[in-house]
Amino acid sequence: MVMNGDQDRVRVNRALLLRFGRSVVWFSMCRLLAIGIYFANVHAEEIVKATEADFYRLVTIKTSQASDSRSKNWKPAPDSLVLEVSGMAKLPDGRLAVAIRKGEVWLLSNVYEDPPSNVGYHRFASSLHEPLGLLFHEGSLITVQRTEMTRLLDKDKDDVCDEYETMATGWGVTGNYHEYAFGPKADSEGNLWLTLNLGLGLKAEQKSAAITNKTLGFTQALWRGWGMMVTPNGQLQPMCAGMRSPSGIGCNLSGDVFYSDQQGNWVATNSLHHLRSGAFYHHPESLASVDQQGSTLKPVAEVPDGLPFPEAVKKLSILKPPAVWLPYKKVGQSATDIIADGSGGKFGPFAGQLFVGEFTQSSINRVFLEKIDGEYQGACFPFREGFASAVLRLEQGTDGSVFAGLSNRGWSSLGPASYGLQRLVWTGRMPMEMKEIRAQPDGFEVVFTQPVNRESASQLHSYRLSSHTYRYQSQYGSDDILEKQLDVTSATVSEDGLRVRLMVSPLRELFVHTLNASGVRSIDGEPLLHNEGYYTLNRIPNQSR
Amino acid sequence: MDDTCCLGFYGVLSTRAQKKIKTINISMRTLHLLLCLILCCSNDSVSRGEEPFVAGFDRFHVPASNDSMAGNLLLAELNCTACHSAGKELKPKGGPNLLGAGNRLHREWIANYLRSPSSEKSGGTMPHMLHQVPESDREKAIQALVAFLSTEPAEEPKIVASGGSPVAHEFWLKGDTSRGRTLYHQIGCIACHAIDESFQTSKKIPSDLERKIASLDLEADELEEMGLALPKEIRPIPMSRIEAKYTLRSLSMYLIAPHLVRPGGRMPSLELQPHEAADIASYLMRESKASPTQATESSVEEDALVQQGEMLFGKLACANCHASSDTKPIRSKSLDELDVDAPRGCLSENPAGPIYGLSERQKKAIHTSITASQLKKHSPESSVQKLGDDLTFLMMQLNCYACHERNGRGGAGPRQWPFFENTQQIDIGDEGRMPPSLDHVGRKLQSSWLQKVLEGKGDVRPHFRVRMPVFQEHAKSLATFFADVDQVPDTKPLDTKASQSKPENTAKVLDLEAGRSVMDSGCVQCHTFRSESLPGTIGIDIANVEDRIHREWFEAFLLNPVSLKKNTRMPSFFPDGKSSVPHVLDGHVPSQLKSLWGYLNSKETPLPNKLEQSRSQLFELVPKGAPIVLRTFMESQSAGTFAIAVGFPGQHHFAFDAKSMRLAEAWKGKFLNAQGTWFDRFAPPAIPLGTDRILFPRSSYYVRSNEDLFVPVELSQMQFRGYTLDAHDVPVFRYTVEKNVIEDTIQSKAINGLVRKIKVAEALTSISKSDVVWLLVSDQVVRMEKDIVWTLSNLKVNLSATSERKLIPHDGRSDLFIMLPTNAAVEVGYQW
Repeated sequence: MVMNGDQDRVRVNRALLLRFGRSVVWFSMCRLLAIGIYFANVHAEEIVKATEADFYRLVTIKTSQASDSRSKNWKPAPDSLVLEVSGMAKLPDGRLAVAIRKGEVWLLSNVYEDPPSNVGYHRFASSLHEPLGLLFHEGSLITVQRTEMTRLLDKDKDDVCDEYETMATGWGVTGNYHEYAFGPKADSEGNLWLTLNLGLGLKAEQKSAAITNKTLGFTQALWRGWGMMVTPNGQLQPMCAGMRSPSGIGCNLSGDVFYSDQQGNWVATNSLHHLRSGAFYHHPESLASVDQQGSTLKPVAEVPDGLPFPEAVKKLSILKPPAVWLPYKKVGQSATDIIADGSGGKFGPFAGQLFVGEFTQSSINRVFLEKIDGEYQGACFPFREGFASAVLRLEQGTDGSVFAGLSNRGWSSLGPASYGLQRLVWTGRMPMEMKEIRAQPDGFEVVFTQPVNRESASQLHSYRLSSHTYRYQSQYGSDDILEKQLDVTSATVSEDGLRVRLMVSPLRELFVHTLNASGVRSIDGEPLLHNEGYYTLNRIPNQSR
Repeated sequence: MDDTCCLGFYGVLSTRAQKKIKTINISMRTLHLLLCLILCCSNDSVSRGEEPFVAGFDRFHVPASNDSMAGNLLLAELNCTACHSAGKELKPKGGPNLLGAGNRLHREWIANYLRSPSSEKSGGTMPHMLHQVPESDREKAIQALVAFLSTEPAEEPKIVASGGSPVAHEFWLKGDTSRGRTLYHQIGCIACHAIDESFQTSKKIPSDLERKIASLDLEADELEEMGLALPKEIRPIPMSRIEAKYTLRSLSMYLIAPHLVRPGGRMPSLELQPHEAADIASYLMRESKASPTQATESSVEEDALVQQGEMLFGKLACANCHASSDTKPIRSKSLDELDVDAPRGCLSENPAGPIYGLSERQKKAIHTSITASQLKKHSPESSVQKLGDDLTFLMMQLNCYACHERNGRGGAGPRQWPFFENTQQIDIGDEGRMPPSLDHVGRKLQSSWLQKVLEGKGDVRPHFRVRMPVFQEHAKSLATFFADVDQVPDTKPLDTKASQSKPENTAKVLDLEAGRSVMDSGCVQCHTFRSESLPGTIGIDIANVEDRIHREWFEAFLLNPVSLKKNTRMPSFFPDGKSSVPHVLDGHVPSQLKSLWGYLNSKETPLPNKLEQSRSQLFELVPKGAPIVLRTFMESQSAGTFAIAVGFPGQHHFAFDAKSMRLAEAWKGKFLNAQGTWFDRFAPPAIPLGTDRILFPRSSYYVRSNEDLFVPVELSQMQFRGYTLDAHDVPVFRYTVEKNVIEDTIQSKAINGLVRKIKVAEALTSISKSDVVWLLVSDQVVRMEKDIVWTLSNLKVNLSATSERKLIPHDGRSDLFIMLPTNAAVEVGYQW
């Protein structure tokens, strides 16, 4: 029903104390005039609901003045370093290496200062063509430019790059603006991964530099829409296809690599996928390269258009569902970078989980993953909003805090800035959150960050569940479809109060299951910081775990 | 608004507090009544609260004037004519759309409002209607009406999110009070509504008038005599107790699309983004202590109650003002049939029908107006005058005058002045921050453009913080209205007349380059052109001026700016009708104006020189001391998408194609502008700025398949490996061709042009004779003397004496190859 969202703003324990004081003063003035002035003082002392900032604090290192991010004549703020952060890597010496979209790499010192009043900026490399990633790997910085993966070497040790070594090249570049190349990130075996954005609206001249798959009729430059891997001995290998705008790559703590995709044609909403050989994710224009030498995919005769996603998965055997769908608006509008919290608790209660940057809403979302039958799936949650501009890049610092690299040029984002660098620091206060949602054969197990108030957590009406899926279609995005309200038949709180086992029916495979647990309170009466989590139930486990 | 009477008393209490208060022994309501009683005895006007506030009346007709416009304004704005028809005249404003109101607004507030509109909203225009229901039934009636108004879902705008349009989930909960406060005071809300006195503008810039007054050192009465007194303050349009009425969600939605709720269009849209609406809502609700949850739990309304409500909605003539599909309005006597002095009429002391709480001056104005209309005592006006009056009337209704002055009437009030800012707080007078005067605007602007402005599709002042509100439903009529009233003269442009008398000038009038010169001589100092402007300047973008402005006005304005805009800072570039740039088109004014007009409206012409220069200062790469390397896209006939452009202080530059390992292009003079590569989302190819561009052959490396047949090395047999910067920052390219690793250095040598040194650095495997590669040094060779080769394109190629070379005939000329020795370097010089 309408307006239920306003409940989020409920101030808790409302009117713990309502004091009412009054005094009445009468004045009488000459003749019959009398004015009554009545003072009524109402003090409503309330515990105001905590906000994200109470748990995760933003430190601004540098942000720009806003400018029209979509203007053709976009100009940076005058006389300053155009810190449109497109890659970040922490260095062993404590500095932070930052790639910027203009094509430079800067080394920033004193970035952990709070407030950061002595940050040093030193240019290390330049002349790069829109580098969209930065990695410190085996002693040197590596980036991916539009046309190649490049190692930045400083042979004479003067802190300025003097050798731009091409590590891998060979993917198609027609000159279409949308043909971004992102990366690299290293997996557990030392392979370097990069992802290649599809071109968008290729002009005739650009098409002549692309290839066409005759069966399907799709035209894109070589390996566009593919995830690529560069092996330690320098081989560039296409690995998986079906990407649209794969602007984020990241590993979990086991060294498995994931990428994020952004809503558009064939991509119903933003999503997070496990990168592996032979997988196809959504966008079929990438199949323009399916017959090329090195392809890991078998040719496809036909791509279904307009089916509900679970049916499309059955019909198109190469189609692999995302590990997590990020429901549109609720968990962002354009997913970007991925990092795992490897701080072992220095960044709060979510050690080991993934954090996904969000462009349009200038925020960060959180992902919990588990493996069911060998495949990753899991849940996503809103985490922290309010960054100054689009969050394009993430990097965890040595102290566990997370740097957010910002740049919104070309699209739009919330926040007052056009670009910049901010740092997110855990304040040490424990948020009341659903830390994990785990699939069970007959429902879900929810793990909280704090023990729950048993009464609130065992009441069935503290939870609302629904499930939905999307349409796999050539049209832009997809609404939530086939939505269904689910029954919670029991809610059992664990002895330590940290876990609640929910029996839910019916569960539907390959559907997104939305869990709203707004009724749950912590043992101290605190409500959830975020009420909802979204579990992508690709597989229902056979047995309780 | 001043809550001077006891009616404002509840305003300081939250709803929850009120509930609590009810439990206290002395009922607040009793107290309230008691207080009212006492006050009623004391001051008549106070007891009634504020008169219903109609901005146009309050500002321009108090003390009441005798003309019928004052009363007419009230008749329309107070919806008198919704019941008492005035034929086609005086269309009533209409009330808000109440469908689903109970699911938008707090139901308790609706009930309170129905009980006593003026207590809930001092100065509101909703009359008290429920007094017509016997007191014993009144509460029940109110409950029934509220139930009826809760049967439909609340209407909300559809808000589409996309990569270009951020919409946070439940954005209405994420507003920021302080951002909202800033927006409220900057984007125009305060033109009509109350100012928070404690709000600090970023910089106080005096208005033109204040500046003038300050410069004169005169007494107040002297100023007044000179017509220089500050205009009187404008009173703000009252608001309801917003926190009691709305939820964050419904207020945000209302601010995004006010016309959905108020189709009368008096509250225009400021084209708020969802997050901006949330910010302003958060600010307006800042006092809210009440739980901002759902207005009221949606409940299944009792059918009987709903039916009773629907019946009352009709019976009480609610449908006369509040659109309803099912309920018909009730017609009362038409305006002409009314007895204005009827003992229980609306203007009487004790009306049987709606109670508006009209003040004596309002009653008088309405009385005058109705009487005049009944006597048909309209002063015989010319149709032009009538048209002008009608426009004035409409501008009063829509409160255009809150921001705009026209014919000496209206304009923002002095209290509001400081809140009109430009984005950079640059002081360029009122023109640089205040909404423009609408004097003869119909003569100035194309009505199609004016319509776009009113529809929110034409903004030439992006440097203004204040936004032109969108008056969608009135856009078209207003635009034509202005055109008709201001009667656009159908005069021909100056040059037509001029060229008749001076036929010798016709050849020059299309000279766009001359227009560009004129623009350079002045306009660019202040104006933006095609979104480009000189640093530190803000001004209207004058590109495509013909889409907006009538040419007649344009020329008249240029010739004598102050004749059309009193206080303009636009200088005259044609003092006494003479051009200040006599060297352009012989100083012939009409030709200059025509060329300027032509240039401003041209599409593909170069930017004015000064703008070009300013742009290049920002983004042109000028090699000084060391070479500059730029990886970029270039055009496909040049180095293509794998281009590496290198510029030298010696002014010879080149582009290398790192896909096919070839020197692709060389040029002299200026190097490149990097803006496209660095900051243009659409990544356009970089185009050499300089002169003498030389394009080189499509391939560099060949193998010799037999004596006279050279075959290009396939792309797959070549691999770029990167580059090293040498001690002088010259890039040394490294790549493989077949089985050779090659180092390739190209640099500018002052006199000699470019010198290229190629060395086989290592052979990956043992090289057999067939693996030896040849470099195509030049095609289209026309002449060769010893070690010097000339080509068709005047390129002079210098070879080192030792290099093994081969001329192969090709297309009637020759291709020149040199062999790459496996253990030595070859050098080639290019001069042109």
